[in-house]
Amino acid sequence: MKLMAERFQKATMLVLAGIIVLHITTIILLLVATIDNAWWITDSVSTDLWGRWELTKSVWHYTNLENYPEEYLQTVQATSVLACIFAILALFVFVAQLFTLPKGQRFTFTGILQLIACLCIMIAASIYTAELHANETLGGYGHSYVLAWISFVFTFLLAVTYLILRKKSE
Amino acid sequence: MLTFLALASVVLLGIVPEQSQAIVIYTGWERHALVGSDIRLSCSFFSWRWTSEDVTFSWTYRPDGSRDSISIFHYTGGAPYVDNKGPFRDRVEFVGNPGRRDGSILIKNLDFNDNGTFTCDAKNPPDIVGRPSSVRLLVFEKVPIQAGVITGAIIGSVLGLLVLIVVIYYLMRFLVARRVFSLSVSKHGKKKKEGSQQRQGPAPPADPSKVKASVSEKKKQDLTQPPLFPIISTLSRQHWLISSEALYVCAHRGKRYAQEYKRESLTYAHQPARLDESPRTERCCPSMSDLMRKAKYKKSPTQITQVKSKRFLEICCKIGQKQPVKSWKRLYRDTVT
Repeated sequence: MKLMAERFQKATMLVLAGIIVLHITTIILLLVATIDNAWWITDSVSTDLWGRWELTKSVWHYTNLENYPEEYLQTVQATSVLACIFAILALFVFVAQLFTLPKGQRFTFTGILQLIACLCIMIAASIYTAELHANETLGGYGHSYVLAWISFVFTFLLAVTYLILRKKSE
Repeated sequence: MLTFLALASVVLLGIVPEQSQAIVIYTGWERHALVGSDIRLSCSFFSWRWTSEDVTFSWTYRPDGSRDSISIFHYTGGAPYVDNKGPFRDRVEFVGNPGRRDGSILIKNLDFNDNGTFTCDAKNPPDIVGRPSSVRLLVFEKVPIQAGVITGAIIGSVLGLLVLIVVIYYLMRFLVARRVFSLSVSKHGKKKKEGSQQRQGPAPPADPSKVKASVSEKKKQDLTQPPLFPIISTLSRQHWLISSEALYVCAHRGKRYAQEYKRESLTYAHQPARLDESPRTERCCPSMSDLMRKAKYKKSPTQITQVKSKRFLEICCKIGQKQPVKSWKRLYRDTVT
């Protein structure tokens, strides 16, 4: 009986650790996607969200963004920042709820925050795909763009996990 | 010895500057300005030599899209010479300080045609080998803000909305709790009042001072007697509102039950069935002391405590009752009356 209890406790510890690691990874991916200027890449240009890196005479120079649809760019900036903020908030709320939630209850607040973060990054990536660089043939999407979509998937999975997970009751 | 040192220093002074004789010129990389405004283009240099009197600065301008550059400013022999024929005629002013190696110029009243690259070349004889540095000028109708107003507005409003929702949620819970408590107070208070009036009899005093006195007396009596309001009411399935008095009563009752249970388990110690249950009291007692602590800290009997029902039931269940308590109100009534 004791052995079963110990094993069960170990299993729950592992699950908890796994969830926290996944959450921290998601936060890191979101931060990289937001901060690194690499949503659109060509041979000599790496651009977007905040500025433009241009390779002239084998030196990278940082310049401003010009001739962009302002409202869409700023919406993408805002929503990706919000996604980062909500993901970080969700982590803190999860840790707080681990200690304060009555047994047998679901982590609803954490799940909701994570769902909002998922929504925000989805809005950001969608608007970017639809409105910016929609007609350009030269170049392709950079690693920040890819990371944005990957973190969308992760945040969605985590949100669903939090909404289903129950605090263990004895 | 001294001559050797002197020779060595002379040789060193001779060698070192020759190797690093390049002059390094610093300007900005890019400058933004509004149409009609003035802009100061800064240029300074670093040189191993002292600033000589023959130091020269010269600025040239290359428009965007053109390959030719024209000279617009030259400083030499201690005097500045500005453009008097070209596109910057009467618009360039020297604002630098050659003594401090600063060769900055001020360009006034900018226009869209001033977009281009400005190159500063400084020479500090005998230090003349160096690469000129360029600064790009961008003239805008309105200055572009990178993370703009829309970004800040969206972020601020969403976060503000979140904070508002959380505050409203907790406020509603608190208000509902108060309302439920006060409603049940008034309901039970009416019932008890009717009961006590029947016992005492007729004629309340007409004098206002006497009325006040009787009210205060009654209040004092109330504190020693069981309170006239129900002390336990259900807020929802999860939460119970319980006054500090009730907390105290249940804690004491629970303690008494715990002692009785312990005594019982000791008497029946030889029966193996009871032995399994005795460790329960030890496990309950920490929770019991927690409840007692909570009861002690409340000062007035009407202070409301919100208790999560499951835990409360667990505690009092484990302590002495052989089965879960179904009605707390009945328990209180039985205890006190």
